[in-house]
Amino acid sequence: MSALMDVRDLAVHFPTRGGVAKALDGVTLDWRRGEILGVVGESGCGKSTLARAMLGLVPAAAGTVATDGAEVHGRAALRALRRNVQMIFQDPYQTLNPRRRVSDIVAEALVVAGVPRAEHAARVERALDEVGMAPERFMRRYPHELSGGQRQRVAIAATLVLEPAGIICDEPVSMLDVSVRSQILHVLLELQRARELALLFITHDLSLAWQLCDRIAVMYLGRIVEQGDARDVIERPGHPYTQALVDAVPPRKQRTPLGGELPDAANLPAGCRFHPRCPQRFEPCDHEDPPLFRAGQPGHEAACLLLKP
Amino acid sequence: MSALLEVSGLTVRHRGNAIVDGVDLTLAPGEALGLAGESGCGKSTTALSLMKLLPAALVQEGAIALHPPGEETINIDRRTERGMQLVRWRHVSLVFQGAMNALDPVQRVERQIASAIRLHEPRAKAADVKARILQLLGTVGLPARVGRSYAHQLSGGQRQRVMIALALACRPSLVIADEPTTALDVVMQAQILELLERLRAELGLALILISHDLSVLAETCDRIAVMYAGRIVETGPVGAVFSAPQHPYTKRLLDSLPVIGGSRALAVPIPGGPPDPADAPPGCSFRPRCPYAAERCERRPALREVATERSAACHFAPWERWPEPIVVAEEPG
Repeated sequence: MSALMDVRDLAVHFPTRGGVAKALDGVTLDWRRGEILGVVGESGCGKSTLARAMLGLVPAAAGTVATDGAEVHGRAALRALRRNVQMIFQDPYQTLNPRRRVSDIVAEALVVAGVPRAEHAARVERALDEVGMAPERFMRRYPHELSGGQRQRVAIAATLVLEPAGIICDEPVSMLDVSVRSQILHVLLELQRARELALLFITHDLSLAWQLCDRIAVMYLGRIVEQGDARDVIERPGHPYTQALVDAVPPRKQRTPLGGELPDAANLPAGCRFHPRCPQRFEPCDHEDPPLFRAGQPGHEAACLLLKP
Repeated sequence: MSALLEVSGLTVRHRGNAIVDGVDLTLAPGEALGLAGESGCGKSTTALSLMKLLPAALVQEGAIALHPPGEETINIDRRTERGMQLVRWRHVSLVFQGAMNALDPVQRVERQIASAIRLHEPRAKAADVKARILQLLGTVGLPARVGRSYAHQLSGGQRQRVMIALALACRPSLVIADEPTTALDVVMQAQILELLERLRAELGLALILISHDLSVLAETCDRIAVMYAGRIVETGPVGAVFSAPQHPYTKRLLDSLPVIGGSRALAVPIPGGPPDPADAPPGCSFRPRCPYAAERCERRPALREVATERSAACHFAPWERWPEPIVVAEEPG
């Protein structure tokens, strides 16, 4: 499988009162065509910033983003990338324009992309059909007339009209109820299969990542600390942080949760950035910053000094 | 053991439509009861009505009796607003869903806790109140300096801990926590659940934990009650409900939970959404979404005992085994 997107040493810095916050601090990641890739971590770990930086929605301080092997430089390349890789967000109540009808919301991307008007109606109907929203019933409605799940379906339909190769989904179901959540996941998975879409799934819920993803990348304080085959990473974590995330999924078997909170990204700990909270830290952890080491299966790697050969 | 809380026939109406419809609950001292269900099923309304905190447009009926250990019974349903002020925080506390927004943004944390204490103990000495606040912050695992902070200076997890400290300030025997971890990520959620468990053990608190997330309730509660469209459709000990649900709604909810190490196949989703209380179907309210619905479901099933300590509101309960669900016509929820 070729890489839909290739991210190399990507860094994003935000100025804060306490200094420069390194929201992304050198992330390297490949997202293959047709693949469901999970990006998991706590709030504030940089997973949403990564998604935004991949589409050039926040400026990168360093590093490169490539699509289909070509580095993305300049406005034209960025526009082409954003056509080909779309994004849906967590809150279906805030992402849809309340003053526009469903048909206009879904058609918006076609307008922006300059698709001839004559094609709009058919493409909008097809996209709504694909997400299970009967066009004749929903086209004329406004967002306030829809439930949360229906809104998220509309948001998905709006990404489909340009027939993208990939969709970045930023916590797309975390605000939805359990029964609606599984409906939306079905929609996404069916699309993924039918259109051979690549999905990049951002979530803090490892049980969801386990169920959906082919591969996952675990982020902590702006870095990827572990990545590999989803089952391999979750069933045999190489990094104590991943283990803590697995243990935190309710109902918990391991009783003691990971203590503390994410440190300030403007004031990163020396050495391994996880060492102040790590239950397994040892002598070198407070001064040696670990790169990714091989952990088990090929392609499975973790940034922990316990794995240093 | 005698009950701490007895609720019978609790009904809440909005313009004549029942949003909570004949809810019966009992809770023993020190027991943790989980109230599960999706948005709009009436679980938060139930919580608010136990504290008589409903907005004026909602009318509540039904008996609510609280028996605080060593004190006289309090008939909450008959209390006036003034009378309720002596009950709230002192006997029953509520940890709100939006902990982020429930704290006063312009008062330091210690002042907010102090005002809760002073409301019930107006003659408490300043030094004693101060000592209590420090002790409370310690109990919920916060450093003393948090007392001098404002809400915006705290993280989501810290604010939720402050809310819990506030709830404990007047040593109530019952704490109701409405989605206390919903806005938090998994690590913070695990910390808060751990804290609630520890407080229960140390203070002998009874707890009503409200959540849409059955797996959160599974690890924290002794018993759970599943609500659907304003009614309790199933109750029982948490382990028994999880291993052998007795209502199709509970069964389908459990099937849709991803379990690490379990099947990776997505369960068939429950079609559609819950009914609008103004337009509820006659008979079983889950009928339009139920793969097992039959003619008799047009009559409303009562919540009845189907096994030891187990009740379900389904004509077909007890369910020995669950047949493969028949796919109901898909309607986007």
